Amino acid sequence: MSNIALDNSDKILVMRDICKDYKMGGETLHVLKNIDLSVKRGQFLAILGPSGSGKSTLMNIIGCLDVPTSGQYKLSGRVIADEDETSLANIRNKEIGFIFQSFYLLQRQTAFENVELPLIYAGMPEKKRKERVEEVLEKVGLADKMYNLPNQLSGGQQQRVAIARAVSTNPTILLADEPTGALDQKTGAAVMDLFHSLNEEGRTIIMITHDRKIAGHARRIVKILDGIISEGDVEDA
Amino acid sequence: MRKFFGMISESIKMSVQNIKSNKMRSFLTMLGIMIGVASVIGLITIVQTATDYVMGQFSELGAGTITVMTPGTSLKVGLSEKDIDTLRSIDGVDGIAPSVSTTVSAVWDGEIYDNVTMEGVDVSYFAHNDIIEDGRSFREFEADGYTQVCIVDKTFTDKVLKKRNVIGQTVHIGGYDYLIIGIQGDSTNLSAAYSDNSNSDGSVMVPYRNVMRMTFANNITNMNVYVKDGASTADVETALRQELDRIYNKADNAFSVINLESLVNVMGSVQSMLTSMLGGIASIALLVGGIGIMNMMLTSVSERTREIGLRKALGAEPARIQVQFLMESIILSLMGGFIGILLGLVIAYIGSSLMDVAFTISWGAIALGVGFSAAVGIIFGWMPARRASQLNPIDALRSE
Ligand SMILES: Nc1ncnc2c1ncn2[C@@H]1O[C@H](COP(=O)(O)OP(=O)(O)OP(=O)(O)O)[C@@H](O)[C@H]1O
Ligand SMILES: [Mg+2]
Repeated sequence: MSNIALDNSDKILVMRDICKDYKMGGETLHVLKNIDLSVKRGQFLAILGPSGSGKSTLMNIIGCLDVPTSGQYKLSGRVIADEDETSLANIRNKEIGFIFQSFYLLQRQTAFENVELPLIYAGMPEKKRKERVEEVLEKVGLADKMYNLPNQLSGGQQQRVAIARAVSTNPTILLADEPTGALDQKTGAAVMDLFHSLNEEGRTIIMITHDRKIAGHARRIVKILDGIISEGDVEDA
Repeated sequence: MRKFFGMISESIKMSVQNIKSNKMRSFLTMLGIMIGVASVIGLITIVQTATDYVMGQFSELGAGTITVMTPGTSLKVGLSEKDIDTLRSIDGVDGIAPSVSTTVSAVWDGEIYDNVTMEGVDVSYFAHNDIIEDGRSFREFEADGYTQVCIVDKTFTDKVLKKRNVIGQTVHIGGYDYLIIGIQGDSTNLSAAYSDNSNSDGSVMVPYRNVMRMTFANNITNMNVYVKDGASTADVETALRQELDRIYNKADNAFSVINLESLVNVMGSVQSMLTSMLGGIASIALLVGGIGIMNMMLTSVSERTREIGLRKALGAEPARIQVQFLMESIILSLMGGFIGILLGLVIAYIGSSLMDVAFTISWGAIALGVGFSAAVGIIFGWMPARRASQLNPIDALRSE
């Protein structure tokens, strides 16, 4: 672990030589191959690649949901391999805001309750929680749909609930997997506007997409193809 | 600490939500616990109520009383008055009431009644049996065998005398004129209870020497020994046996000593055996109920695998997931338990009114019901909850 250089303090995330294999029957599938990636605090990064290239796999490792087969990963100065399940849960709660490819909202709970969930896990008292939920739902323009169930919301509205949930705990990194995949162009653009304003607040955003146009919203693009990563054309790192 | 309480209250909220959204399934699962707890409570309460009642009756009859029967040997039949005096001097003996009884006929108002029980008792009998309802009992000087006084019972009053005000009147019984000095209330002694059949013309109590004289018996074969308050009945029983062994020269089967207190003890152990046996049977129902809970929780965990994955992704610690599922199974079985307790009490109530004994709510049984159902919830919810808490978040999210 000590060979991750200490001069990376402005980097919120450092990956060295990350590999992820899946054993399928007798064969080993190499999904991520020797990934080196570091991300500065406050960056807006897009990871661009075709379907099946390993984008979601990479995001799950970044988000501490999955563990790499080999390699070193350091997030906010902590060596992830050294943490147990309980502290990983706390890292996911405080450091990371997930926006999943298919929203993942709890269908039996209202928009309000879905957004409230990570705040409950953060141990926030009920009154403060209510204020915070109302604040973020207003921010994504859903003040009037707070008590709707997910199936009473349009796809774009559900996506915005997922975004509100991801930002509710004020995480350092926002991880978005195909945030506009299920949206039409207009709503997609609105979501991108929201991302820009969140990024201007200083939040690090890592956005995963297969859409070059959407990736163009980011300030840095990293390409991934067959599990191999390469810097893209927009570059400010 | 605050976080812990927050965790518990959130878990309760979520569990209630989940139980509500699966009403039918939750109810069917609770049914097992309900039946288990209801049968535990119902059976235990019924057994307890019934045996408490019977034991109460027994100890009312036999507290501090030892019944001695002395058929004797061919050389020595029964006990003499002198022998009885020897027994009276045993430490802890308050008094000995020989009892002899015979069936005689009575004449009243020109009519003859054939089926009258004449019971010979000793003066000391009345000190231990509060049966005089009206009038008085015998005096010491009336026990000489020649004074003809009697105490009549209700049946005799109704069937033979056919009137209420009989004290001071004379009735012809067994060939002698007896002065009625008292009326006995509801009989509480065993022999009266035996003779309480419909063709009996009732019974009269007379001093026992009168009966012995009348039946030409010189010996006493039946007596009640009363134990002093505070003295050990068991010790008196032992001393009685030793003395009787000496009197009868250790002959076999010359006498028998029945200590009602030891009968009560036997009843007590029969009761606890019955209780634990029925409790054991009912516990099997509870076990089946618990397996039902485990089954439902396992189903619930696998149905909600993706939800569990999401909760973990959003920061739920394994312990929190475990508490949430454990809480759900505890709530489920406690709900079943409470309904089961109510049901069990209803069963016990019906049971005790069918047996015509007083119904008492046994708080012990209720505590047992609550404890049992909570324990079932914890024990059978533990494994599914643990399984949920150990799910790998990414596999859980990706499931189905
Ligand atoms: N649990 C798993 N077991 C086996 N193979 C897996 C597993 N998860 C992912 N893979 C494989 O890894 C590869 C990358 O998957 P991943 O989900 O990362 O792709 P992606 O880039 O996100 O694609 P898309 O744009 O379609 O979402 C795929 O070939 C997939 O089949
Ligand atoms: Mg994907």
